[in-house]
Amino acid sequence: MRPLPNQKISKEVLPVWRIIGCFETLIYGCLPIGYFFLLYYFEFPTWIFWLLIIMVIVIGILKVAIIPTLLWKKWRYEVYESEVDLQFGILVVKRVLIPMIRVQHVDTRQGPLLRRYGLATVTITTAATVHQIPALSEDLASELRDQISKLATEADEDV
Amino acid sequence: MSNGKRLHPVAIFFLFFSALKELLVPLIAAFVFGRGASSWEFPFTVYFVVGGFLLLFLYGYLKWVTFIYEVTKEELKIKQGIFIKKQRYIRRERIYSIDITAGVLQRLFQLVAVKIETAGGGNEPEVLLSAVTKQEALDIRKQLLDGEKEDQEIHSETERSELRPKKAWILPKNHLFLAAITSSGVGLAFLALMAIVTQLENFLSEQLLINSFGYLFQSSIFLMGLLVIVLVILSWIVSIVGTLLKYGGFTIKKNGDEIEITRGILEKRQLTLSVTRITAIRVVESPLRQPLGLATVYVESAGGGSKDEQLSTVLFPLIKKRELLTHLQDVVPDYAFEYPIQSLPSRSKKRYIIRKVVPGAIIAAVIGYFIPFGYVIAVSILTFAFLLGSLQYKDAGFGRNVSFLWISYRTISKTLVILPKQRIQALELKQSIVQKFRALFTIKVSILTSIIGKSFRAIDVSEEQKEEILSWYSYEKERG
Repeated sequence: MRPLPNQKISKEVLPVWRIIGCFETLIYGCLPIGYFFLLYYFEFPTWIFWLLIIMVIVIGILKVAIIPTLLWKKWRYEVYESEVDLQFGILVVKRVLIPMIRVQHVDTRQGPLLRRYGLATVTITTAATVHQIPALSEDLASELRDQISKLATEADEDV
Repeated sequence: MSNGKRLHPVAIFFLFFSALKELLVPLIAAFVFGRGASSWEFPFTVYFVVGGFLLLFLYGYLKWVTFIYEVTKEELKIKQGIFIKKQRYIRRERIYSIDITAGVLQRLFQLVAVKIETAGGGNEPEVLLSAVTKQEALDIRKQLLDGEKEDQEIHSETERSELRPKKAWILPKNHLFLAAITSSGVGLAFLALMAIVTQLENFLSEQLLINSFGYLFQSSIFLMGLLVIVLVILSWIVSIVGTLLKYGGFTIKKNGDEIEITRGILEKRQLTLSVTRITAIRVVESPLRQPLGLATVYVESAGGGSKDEQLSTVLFPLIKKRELLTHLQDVVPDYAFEYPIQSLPSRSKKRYIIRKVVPGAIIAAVIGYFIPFGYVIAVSILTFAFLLGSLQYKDAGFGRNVSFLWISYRTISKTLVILPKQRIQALELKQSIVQKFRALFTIKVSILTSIIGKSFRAIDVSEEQKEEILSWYSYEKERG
């Protein structure tokens, strides 16, 4: 049996994902607020309001407390000489093999949140697909980017 | 760009018409909604229409004047734009396919259009030369596709005769007819006709409708049935004629690595495709054709492909399934070998059936509840769902050799897709929570086609099969 990739992504990503989770929860939070205003004008049942609030709280707990940890725990990657191996996912576990000869380009990306925590995302693009290794430390990310891009050009010359 | 060329002057009309076509809907809308305004009186309207046409014509003329192309040994240069000048150079190696078509308009003037596609590309062809003479088109193709080869050809006379295109395949007349009567376009044509019939009420007077259709609805189901049968026969005829026009004169010529596909009666298409650009071959057996042992073969390629064929190119519109290998041998010998299929573990069967029966049951429940005697329909839907699920399980599977992977699956049609390992861009294995209970996996392979990627799946394979594919695909051999 083929061994699982054994590199983990940076633990620093947890607060980033939690903050994103908070924002997402805030967006869901608009639902009960909107419903509250509707209640003001129409005679809708109030229990739906409480149900929506509970729903938002559950979503909040999931997005902020539970999902980031699980995602982080499940994320594995490994860069070999001739391919990149990724494994991730909570409910649906995905395993992806990207051969170096198929890699078209590698980018690192960094939004304001990731930058705040000194992290960056590595994006690997093939002719047909795009893959990401989210949240590595800045140095590691750029090192990995250069490494993959170098391996990719070398592999290309072989074929 | 000293010796650049312009398109044939007839292109002015084409450009004019295509601009007109784009403006048609807003123009009609303006007429319909603006009719009430007092300014739409007789003389003004005429000025407006004539002026509009003149402007469009001027636009077409300017576009034609500013569009200059030049073909050299290394590249295709295009210079265009009325206000914003654009220059585009496309290197010869980047060109994936050259498509020569002669639409009805072009045929009137004995001209052709040349579409040039490069990798990536997008929805529109990279370059469209809408009106050139046939000879010019052939010259362009020769320059861009086998300019290099031509140089070599001169060296030896014998080599030259070998390189001359040989006819590799012609669609036999009786096959064309079979293709036409088993075409799955029937359903589409039927829907279109239904749409027209239901729209009729907008055009006919209400009284007439009540007189004819009202009578129809009241009088008998028999007449309604008759109407449906007439529609089915009509749509069948439409689809037969469509297929005949589309695939008539289908011929494949092979010239070294290039495949040249010519087809069509009304609109003549001539597509040149490089074998090295092929990313997968699909063999499709539709339900109408499968019992007759017939199949259609498609080619997925980087560049090329048309919208009406799910961005693929038809390689053989219709062949006998058992002669598949012989035909592939003639045209794409690399792909001609046996395709033994490993079937999926028997525990997958349940999942295949459940996936069809559950949505079927929901629809059946709704119909059974709301429609009188709906249970008859409900039972047949459930039976159909069950049968489809079992068939999908039976036809699902995959196989591999050193350098190819083939996946067999059924949606409604049974499909076999043959993928060279070299062309697979990435391999993905997935396992959902539900699949975990039964230790099953989904394999997904992605390849490059005209627009973006396309992916093919083998759903619910076993753990061992998953490991087999994983180590087959891995380029890191010492670990595999």
